[in-house]
Amino acid sequence: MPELSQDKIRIVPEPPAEKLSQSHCAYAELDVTTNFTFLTGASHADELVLQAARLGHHAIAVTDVNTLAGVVRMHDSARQVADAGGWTPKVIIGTRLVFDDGPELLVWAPDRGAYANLCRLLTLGRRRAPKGECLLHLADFLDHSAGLLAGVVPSKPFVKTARVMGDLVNALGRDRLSVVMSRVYAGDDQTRMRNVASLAKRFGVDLVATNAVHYHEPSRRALQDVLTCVKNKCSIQEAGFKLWPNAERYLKSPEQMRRLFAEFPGAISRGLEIAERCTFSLSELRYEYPDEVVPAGMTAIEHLTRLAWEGAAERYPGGIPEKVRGLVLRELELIQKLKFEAYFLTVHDIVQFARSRGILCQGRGSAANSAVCYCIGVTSVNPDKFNLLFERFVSAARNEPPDIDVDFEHERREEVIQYIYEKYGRERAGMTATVITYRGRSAVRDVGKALGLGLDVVDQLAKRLDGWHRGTLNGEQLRDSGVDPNDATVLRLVGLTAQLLGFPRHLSQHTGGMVMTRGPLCEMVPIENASMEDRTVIEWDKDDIDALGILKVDVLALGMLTALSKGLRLINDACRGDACVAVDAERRVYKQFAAAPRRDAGVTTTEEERATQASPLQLHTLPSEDPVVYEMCSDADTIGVFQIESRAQMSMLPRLQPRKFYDLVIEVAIVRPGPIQGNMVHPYLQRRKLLREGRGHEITYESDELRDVLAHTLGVPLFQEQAMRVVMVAAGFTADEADKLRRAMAAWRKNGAIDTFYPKIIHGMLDNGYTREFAERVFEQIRGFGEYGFPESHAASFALLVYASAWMKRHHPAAFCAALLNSQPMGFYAPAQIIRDAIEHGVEVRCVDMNHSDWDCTLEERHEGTEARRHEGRERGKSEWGLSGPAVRLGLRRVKGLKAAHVDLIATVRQRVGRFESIDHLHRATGVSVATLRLLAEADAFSSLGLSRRQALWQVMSLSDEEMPLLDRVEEGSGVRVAEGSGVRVQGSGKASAFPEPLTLNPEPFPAFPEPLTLNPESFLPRMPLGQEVMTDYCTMGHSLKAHPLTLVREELTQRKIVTAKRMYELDEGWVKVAGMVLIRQRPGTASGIVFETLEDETGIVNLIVKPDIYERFRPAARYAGLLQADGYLQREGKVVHVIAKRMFDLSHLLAGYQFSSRDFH
Amino acid sequence: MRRVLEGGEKRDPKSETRNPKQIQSTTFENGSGKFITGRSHGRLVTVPRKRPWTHLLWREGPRNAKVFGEQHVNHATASRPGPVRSGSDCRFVSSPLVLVRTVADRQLVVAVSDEARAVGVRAGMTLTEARALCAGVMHADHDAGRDERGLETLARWMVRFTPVVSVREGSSLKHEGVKRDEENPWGDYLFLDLTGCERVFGGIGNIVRAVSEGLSQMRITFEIGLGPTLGSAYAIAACPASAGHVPSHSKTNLQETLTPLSVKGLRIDPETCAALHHLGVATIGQLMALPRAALPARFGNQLLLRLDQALGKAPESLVPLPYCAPIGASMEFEGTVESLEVMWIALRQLLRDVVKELSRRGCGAREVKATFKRAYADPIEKLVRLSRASRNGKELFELLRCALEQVETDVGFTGVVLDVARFERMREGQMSLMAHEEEEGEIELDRLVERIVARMEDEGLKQVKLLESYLPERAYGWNRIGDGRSGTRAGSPRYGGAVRPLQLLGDPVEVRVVVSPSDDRDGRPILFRDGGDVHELRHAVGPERISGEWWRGHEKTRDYFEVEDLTGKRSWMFRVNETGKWFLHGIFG
Repeated sequence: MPELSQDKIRIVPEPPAEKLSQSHCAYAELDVTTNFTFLTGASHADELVLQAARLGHHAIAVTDVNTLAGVVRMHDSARQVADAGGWTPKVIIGTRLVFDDGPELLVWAPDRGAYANLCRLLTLGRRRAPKGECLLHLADFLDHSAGLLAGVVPSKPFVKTARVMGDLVNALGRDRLSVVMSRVYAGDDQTRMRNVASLAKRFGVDLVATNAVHYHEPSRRALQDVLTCVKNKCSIQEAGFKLWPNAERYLKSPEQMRRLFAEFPGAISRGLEIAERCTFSLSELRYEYPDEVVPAGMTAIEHLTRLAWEGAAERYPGGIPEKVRGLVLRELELIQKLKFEAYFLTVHDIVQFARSRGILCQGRGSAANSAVCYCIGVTSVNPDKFNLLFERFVSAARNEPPDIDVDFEHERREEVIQYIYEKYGRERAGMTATVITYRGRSAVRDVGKALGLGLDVVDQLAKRLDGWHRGTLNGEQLRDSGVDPNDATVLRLVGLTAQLLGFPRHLSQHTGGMVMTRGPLCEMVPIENASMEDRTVIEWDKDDIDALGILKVDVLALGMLTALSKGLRLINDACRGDACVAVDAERRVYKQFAAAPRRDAGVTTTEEERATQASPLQLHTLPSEDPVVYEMCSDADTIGVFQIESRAQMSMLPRLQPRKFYDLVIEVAIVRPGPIQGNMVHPYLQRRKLLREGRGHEITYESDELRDVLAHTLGVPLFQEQAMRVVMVAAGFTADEADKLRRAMAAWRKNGAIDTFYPKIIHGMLDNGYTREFAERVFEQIRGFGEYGFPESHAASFALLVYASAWMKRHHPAAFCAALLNSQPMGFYAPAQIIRDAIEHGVEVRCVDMNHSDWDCTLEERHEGTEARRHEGRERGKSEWGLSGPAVRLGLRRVKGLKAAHVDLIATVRQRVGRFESIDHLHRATGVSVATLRLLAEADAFSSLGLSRRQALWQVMSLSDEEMPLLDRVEEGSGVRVAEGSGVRVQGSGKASAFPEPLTLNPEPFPAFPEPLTLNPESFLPRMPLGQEVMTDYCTMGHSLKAHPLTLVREELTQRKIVTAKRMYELDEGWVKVAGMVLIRQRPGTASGIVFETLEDETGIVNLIVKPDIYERFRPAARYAGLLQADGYLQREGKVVHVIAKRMFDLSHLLAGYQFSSRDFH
Repeated sequence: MRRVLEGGEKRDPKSETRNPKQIQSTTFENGSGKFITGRSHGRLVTVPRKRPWTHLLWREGPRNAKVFGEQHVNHATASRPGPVRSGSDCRFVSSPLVLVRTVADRQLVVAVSDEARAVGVRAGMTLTEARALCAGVMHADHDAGRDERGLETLARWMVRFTPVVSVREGSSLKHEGVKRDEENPWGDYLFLDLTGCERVFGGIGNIVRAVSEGLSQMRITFEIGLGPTLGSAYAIAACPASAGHVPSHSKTNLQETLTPLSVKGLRIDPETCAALHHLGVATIGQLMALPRAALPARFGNQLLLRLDQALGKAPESLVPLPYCAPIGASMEFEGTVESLEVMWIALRQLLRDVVKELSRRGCGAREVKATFKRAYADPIEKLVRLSRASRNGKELFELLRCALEQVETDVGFTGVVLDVARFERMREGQMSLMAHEEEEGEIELDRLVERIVARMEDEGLKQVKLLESYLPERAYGWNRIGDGRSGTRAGSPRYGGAVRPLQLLGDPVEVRVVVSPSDDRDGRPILFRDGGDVHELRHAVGPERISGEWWRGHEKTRDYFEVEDLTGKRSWMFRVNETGKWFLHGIFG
């Protein structure tokens, strides 16, 4: 969500009305380290700007060490103060360059050209160093010094500095070079200053005075010391001379500076002169769109207009509806006016690329409010059916770029990103950074450690700040941690923590914001390496980019798109495969088409095949409004379905009873903190009930205008757009005012800005004839929305995916199951539950087998006469629509530790030889390492050879990687390499070897390998009991098809008077004991600390509700148990049955040895 | 749980448990013994004498604190599964305690006390996880080196039963051979070769009983295995089910004895063990049922070797703990001796013997304990420590004489015992030409230090060291010269640009100062008055501004000046900026 980044919005303190110090002397501070020199600077940019303004500084430079990351903050703070009518000093953009081979330099950019040089220089230094570091040589600077002003910071011994002075003077000239002199009350100030002066004189260079500012006022010394400690990983007591002796590095008043430099008055005036020469401001950075996206001979708007109308014609084959026509016209006009056309084209280009590569994608967020986006294929929300609010997307008044988020298949997003890098080049495209800031927890931890508090105490304190509270510690929290809140150290801790909150800690990469420019991006902002290979990141984050009006496209990843894409491919291939069903019962009919969804060779062929196909199923061609799909959703039978698979959603579904697409939109939006906190859920459900009972006329609206706005949600505002429209129609807001309100809503938690709208809303509504009571209620609702409301268009985008995934689950459960498994990790549920859910719906799931499985899960024909595995839980009423469909063959990706490359190798060779007759055959034919075979054996993947796990393992153990004289065996015509890791000795510890290297194959046919073993391992190897089989299944694959683990301990559980899930559903309300493996633990932010846990046993699922006091009391069990027993009250709410837990016990020891993992606290 | 500790102090554990620092400074040893290949479930915890927080450890200290030198021996059950055979008379401290080891920023629990186990804490968790289970869990750092030494100490104690005691089948006791970081996969154990010893003790049963009793007294949990081969004894000890009774050790039924035992008892590496487990081979019997010829290809040679060793088909030898005879000498007088001179003569004689033995071994003494027996009173013990090994008889004698100075001779002595408690190989290094004098000087200083310490006990001598602090009065501290080592003289921290006077006044002396320009806080002193003396200043250099250490509550800032008056006397003075008061703080020489 683009609007959810207000963490970084800091409340700007009141700007001074006028210059506080009406000084007669002027001064420009040219050496200012902000907190973007991480763990060094101890003041925010805005604090520095405001302080400089108060003191009446002529100018203030920002010179962070080897970075420009903080310059936008400084620039923007000054602009905000100026906007608010205050006086601000001029902001000079600069850097403190630290070289590996020379003295430090302060560098200031006087104009755009010099700035570009500086950016290039920093990009150079950062691209050749690892992430977050910068490696510069003095020679680099000499190469890139054109236009820049520089000040040498002489360091002892001065001889070293003097040695490079000559070079600097030659490169820059005496005019652009200065020698920096600062006076920070060290004992030897006088001598040092004279030495510096004589150095400057020797080279004929002017002196410039600075105060080496690290904080805006002396009181920040403590924080600066703490940061130094954090940086040096020591405590304040040990820090010693790593700290500075005094607090002099603050912004001093011009008078003070003049007095300190009374001996060198020229140094002050030189500073002013430099400031005068620096005319560059960041607002000069004009963003220019890349022009590749516009075909030659056309203007951008012409091209966009053409695309829009062409797209519209395609979207509406039956003629473009009037409403849409009007919208598109209006939007195009606005786009042209704001010159955003290139941006739309850029996004269109990316989406077009994704489509051409068969990557599913969909725009969402506020962009879905645009009809043009719909027409050019970026979003899928039909403007004809929804009331779009274009103002929510683009506003004429707010001179800010729109924000388009596009989701791509999560496994293939990298392709899109690399496409962008390729198309625009690394010089012109970069990913946005994210500034990681200190939050409560990390701040307490670091400050506590620096103050020398014991790790115990620090951990305790940090723990009290559970989650993401932005607050600081209060007395109660302190006492709870066993700390005396009046203790001096603790008071210091509290104070320093509060100061540290919001400080940037390091830069990280944004989840997908890409910036593209027409000119070189590295002349606009330094680019650095990301921790991920092949990615480059700019130094500015999203807010910085917004502040400068630079456009970015969010290229996001969505797992469900991957799953849908894979599922559709499976279905399409399966349908085509119908023709060849009879060919070979043993062979998989669906397989050969489904085999290569991801890997290179497969893509083109599949693409071709699909092209020749008459009408493949596609995301937007799914049959719409299918009643059985809604029926399934209403039964909350939605494991695996996008968005509505969470506990909260699943308990809402039976109450909401979705019957049409719009209900899904509401379902997605209503189970959100916003509507829940705004108390909109119950009114909406009540009204819906009225409607269902045919009493729709009883639903009342305050006015006709409001009816128009709220009718589709039965009079309850559920979406952000509705809140905006309500104030527009009822309180007389303009569209831009409404947008401001939205932004305030987003940030009200921070600064309560929304309350400033209170009078305007109330009075506006009173003026329009609404009652005060109603007005108050509306205001409360808007307030409650806060940041957590969904815009309708966004919910609609999501609802499309909800419908698509639900449709697939209902009509193609096998494909759906396989697709979900192939897209892991994603979603709420672990693979074991997805498999189980499929089985419950009648899908036959087959175990992994090296003679049948690929890397991915595949679909296989259901054998004649085979009954689907009946699952005990099925009688619970789950339908069996999977019975007639294909079976799922689990892929070897389920086996932990296997490598895709090895499995592919096996699959390729298998296609040629038909079938592996023995382990030895497999080993010789493919040359996979023994370690890989071992993994296969341990995963019980040799059952088609009639070998049990232990037998297979016994045989594998006799093999050796070294004794493979026939490693380089080839079959004719196939260029496929068959041997693996030649010469790579793989330890038999379960680690597979490296990726295979190509080898030549020789044309000798495979001889049959009769197993030379004279002994039958069955005679001496003990049989594996069922319990251990299940256990090993879980250990190697995370699921078992043989039995549910709880069947192994059921007897024990029955003795404990624990009922099965199935039995529980038959019980009346009352005390009950249940037990099961914990699937999910969730603590929704809205549920006031209540934790929802989902237990699973062999018969079904139990929903637990754990109140906070119970959770705390039984914390070890509640938080960590894999197998949990819960005693409590059974409660029925319609079809939904909960157990309100009162006691919880950890039964994991019963299943000692298993490895389960629940998905905790998503 | 309260208890009276050694020294009669009664402590409130509640107040103690709150203080994690104290626990952290405790170190543990988890020696645990395998006797006659006995495997202990215990971690041996040794705590230095006089530490008052002993009770914070798992159990209370032993009744007999003299077992290992003079260390208390505590123990607890360690993290291994299996029945815990701990003395039921042990009283428990109520707080759960874990030992942690820091691995790459994560604190991993390596051992768990019973209390911690009761709330679900297990070895292998991170400390954070343990805390989440039980907020009050306390932790201390695990010290593998001390574990190792603890085991060795225990092995030495075992020498009373047989001369052939081996720590982990003879792994070298020289610590460099043992990789500290690797957890010993087979646990801690000791091998005792009892061949022939049973006759001394009147039957092997008596030895087992004596070992058991001794270990119980030391509160070490243990398992004892007794077998005709090393391997079988280990296997028996490693399988707790069979360890309850001590089986017979005849070779005839060895195979039957081993059949039900776990393959884990074969001292095979964990990977082999896991592989056997995967094949469903859990007992030695099942292993023996596998086709022997098929084993090496699958498990390598070690498995068969270990099996054969356990069965006595393959030889295995013990490397006994090297025996190191103590060095000492003693003399009993025929009557009581009251004259110090006679004592000295006796001492000289004894020292001659000791020095002879030291020379023979190429060693020098680091610690000499002299015990003076008295007729009707407790003996007097004097410990003399040396900062470097020495076997110079005269030197040793002088030191002993210093130590003896304050001994009362009224009662009269009946004997003297000299015991070289610590000795080490002497460095026969070549002295460098240039540094010779310096080294000589250092040796001289060490001698002086040794003599003073011998006379004045440990606390008597301290050494100044420089600390990193800008505040002059906090820029130095004291090092105690505990073990006679004179400490590091080099590496004194120094702050770059500042000038410091040679003589710092104990307390700054307030002086009255005339400043110019007078209205300016940045003004410099031109004259100061110290009592009646008026010092007119020729010049003042500064200010050097030093802010207080805010984290200690010192918020004031000082401006230091180096001043010189008309007589040429240089002083160091400062102004407290907040109050404007002036102080004299030091005098340049």
